[in-house]
Amino acid sequence: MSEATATTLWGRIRSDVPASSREARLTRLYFGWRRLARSSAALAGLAIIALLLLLAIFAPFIAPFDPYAQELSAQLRPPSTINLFGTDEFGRDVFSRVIYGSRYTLYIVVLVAVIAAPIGLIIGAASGFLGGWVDTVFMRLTDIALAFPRLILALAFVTAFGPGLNNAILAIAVTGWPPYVRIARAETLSIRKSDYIAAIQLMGASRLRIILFHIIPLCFPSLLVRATLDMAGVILIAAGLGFLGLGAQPPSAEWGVMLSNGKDYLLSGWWVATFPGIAIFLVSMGFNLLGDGLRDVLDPRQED
Amino acid sequence: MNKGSLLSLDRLVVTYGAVRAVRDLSFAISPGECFGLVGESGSGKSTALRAIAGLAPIASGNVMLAGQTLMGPRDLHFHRRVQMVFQDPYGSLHPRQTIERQLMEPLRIQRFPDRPDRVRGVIRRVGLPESFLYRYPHQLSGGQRQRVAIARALLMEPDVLLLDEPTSALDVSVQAEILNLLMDLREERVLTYLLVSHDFGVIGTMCDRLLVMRHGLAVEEMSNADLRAGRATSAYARQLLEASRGYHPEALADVG
Amino acid sequence: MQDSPLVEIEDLRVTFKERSGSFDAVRGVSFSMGREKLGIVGESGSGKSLTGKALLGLVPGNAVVTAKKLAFDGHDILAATPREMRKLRGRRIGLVMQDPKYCLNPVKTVGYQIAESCKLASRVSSADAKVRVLETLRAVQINDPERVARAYPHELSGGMAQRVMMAMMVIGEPDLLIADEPTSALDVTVQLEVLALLDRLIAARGMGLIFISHDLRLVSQFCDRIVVMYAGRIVETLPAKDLSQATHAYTRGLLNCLPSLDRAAGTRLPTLQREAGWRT
Repeated sequence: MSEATATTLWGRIRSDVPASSREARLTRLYFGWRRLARSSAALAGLAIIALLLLLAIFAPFIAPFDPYAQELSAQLRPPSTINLFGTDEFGRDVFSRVIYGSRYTLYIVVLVAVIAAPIGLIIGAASGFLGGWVDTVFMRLTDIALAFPRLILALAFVTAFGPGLNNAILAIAVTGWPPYVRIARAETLSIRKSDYIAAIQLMGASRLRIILFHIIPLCFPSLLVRATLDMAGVILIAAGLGFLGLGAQPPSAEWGVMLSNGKDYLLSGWWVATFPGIAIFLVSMGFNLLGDGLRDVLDPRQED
Repeated sequence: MNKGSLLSLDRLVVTYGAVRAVRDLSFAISPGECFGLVGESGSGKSTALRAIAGLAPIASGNVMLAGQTLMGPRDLHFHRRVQMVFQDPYGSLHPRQTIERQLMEPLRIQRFPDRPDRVRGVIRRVGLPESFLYRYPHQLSGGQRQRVAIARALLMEPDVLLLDEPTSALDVSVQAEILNLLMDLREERVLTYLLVSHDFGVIGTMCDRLLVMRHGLAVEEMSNADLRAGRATSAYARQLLEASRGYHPEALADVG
Repeated sequence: MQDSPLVEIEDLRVTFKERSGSFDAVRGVSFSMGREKLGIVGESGSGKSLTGKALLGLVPGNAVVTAKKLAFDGHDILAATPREMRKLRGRRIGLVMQDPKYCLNPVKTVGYQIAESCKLASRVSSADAKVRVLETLRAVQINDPERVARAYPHELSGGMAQRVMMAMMVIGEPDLLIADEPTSALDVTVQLEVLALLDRLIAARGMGLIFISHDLRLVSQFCDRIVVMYAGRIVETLPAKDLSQATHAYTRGLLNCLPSLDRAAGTRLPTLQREAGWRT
């Protein structure tokens, strides 16, 4: 009945009667989105992340001032209609700096995710599926990496390679992959013995093909959830490194650096440290909320 | 072993660690025949099937396909000739791929031409509408999934189908439809079946010959006529046959 | 024997509320039973299990149960408080499920768990409970009750675990036992032993039994009366011995499509042609 009426693409998607595999995927995305949209917390998280993205892209259009322009006559001005978040010790506009800071945050988050998650995914899936000595070697390496506290390891890396934003990112990524390995391996172990993997083996598929096309896509959802939740921590570590002078360097408009500078003026100019702090808090929370929402949507047990 | 047999086992032993799941199992299946393996859980009947397919470790003994002994990992050629249908239709389809993708995959692996046509043809042959190609497994009922699993096995145009309790997870009315489909396909494509089941009714409907197994050992080989006449020589086969007749308190005196 | 029936169900409905609308899984089921063996038969989705669960007050959270009458031995189940329901479940109604392994606590010994349900049903001392546990394990045909009482659930075979489950359920001497596919996970030979045991327990204690199963033939051999369900409704109720004279097309269809050794080998099985009229 509904099959006959659904003639447009949108109609077929909404009534769940796809006419091709591509439409079936779109339909799934649509219903996943509807499930995500049921949670107001997840939507709030998504809105925060979307805002971060927009701010980073359109920073030059939104920021009223040059974030690096010093105006020594306007030091430590409290928030006003001209300087929404006030000015810092060099007379720079804190509002503009917070907006430009979103670029650093996004840069860090994206790079860490792009480096750490795929490494973890591939090592974990291969380790879980192949087993034997491959598994033993990879898992012992992971255990060793996991034995160090993450911030301390990142500190050691940055001290060894020299402070700086890129080295900080590398340090965070290099210390961040072991949890992904664990997740991907655990998922793979539960998938490996299943009949559908046996069936694909019986079609003559190579092990590489099975790992790449059949196992990794199944590990992907839980990894995405974990990565999203992880981003809150990544932002905190990056800000921490910046705060300690080991990440982004002054005069960068990075939130951790700004926080570090502002701490000296907490009594005379509370706004210098407070607004970057609020930004860090909001974005971390945004990632956490979105991650929780994604977990509810992507958890296979929720699917009927 | 019989020279004319298509698939045969010669003193097959399968061990998992210290557990000997299959012990000294031998039988031979002729081309076009339907051979049944019957037994209770732990009898090794499914393990034997998986060992033939290369999914269980063979400790000793031989598996022979068309007179050739299969050694080591199975090759592409083997997969073209021998396919399997699993017991649990909920577990044998990839949960996040559309049916179309799952049916295309074997054709891609084996480099078949005319893939979309073959997929459409096979889905119609197992009695499903083409629109089901664009569904995910969780949108299908158990019987529909089992039809998809059969379609996937048929794509390879195999000679031998290994059927591992293909209907035991289904409602009886759906079971009848799937068994009918399997009977029709066998006739139409001259397939050879090795059917594992715990149900004498299913075995008796489908099979020409059967082997009763217990604790990994072959207990007794019977013909379909033997089965119907209740001509079992071993005590265990007789007991199983009796039990399969259902609950008769008076007949149970010696069992309980 | 008293006059009032043990279970009275009139126009039972179980409705699942979902965002996309509501779905009636049980649609107007009515029957009453005394201390007899009643079989409820149907395929998956027929609502047979939900009917049993509604009687126990154990339907899932998003389901709503309504009925003109849903009574156990004169107690109105729909009006009962959760506390009263717990009391009823512990002492008067027992439940045996398909997979005993999911119903037993994996980190407590079997003996402890049976003793707990014994204490729940009647105030007895721990020492008395222990004696009763061993007695009951013996009653469910377990030869070495001391060893089994000390065992953990994972150390038991499927048939043994199902006996333990029954021991747990009958120790409180309930008036009604609801068995939901109690033998479907067991091998045929074990299945028959468990059924024989169930039969004896019921006869000895004068309980009523609701036997929920997909296996029409087994139910007809085991029960006194059969209720056949299809798509949430009862299509036919008949004495078990008259199954071969069933009149409804669905019941007959179910019987016919069973693969049987009486049918010629290699012939197609008759299939069930579902008719829209059965649903209403």
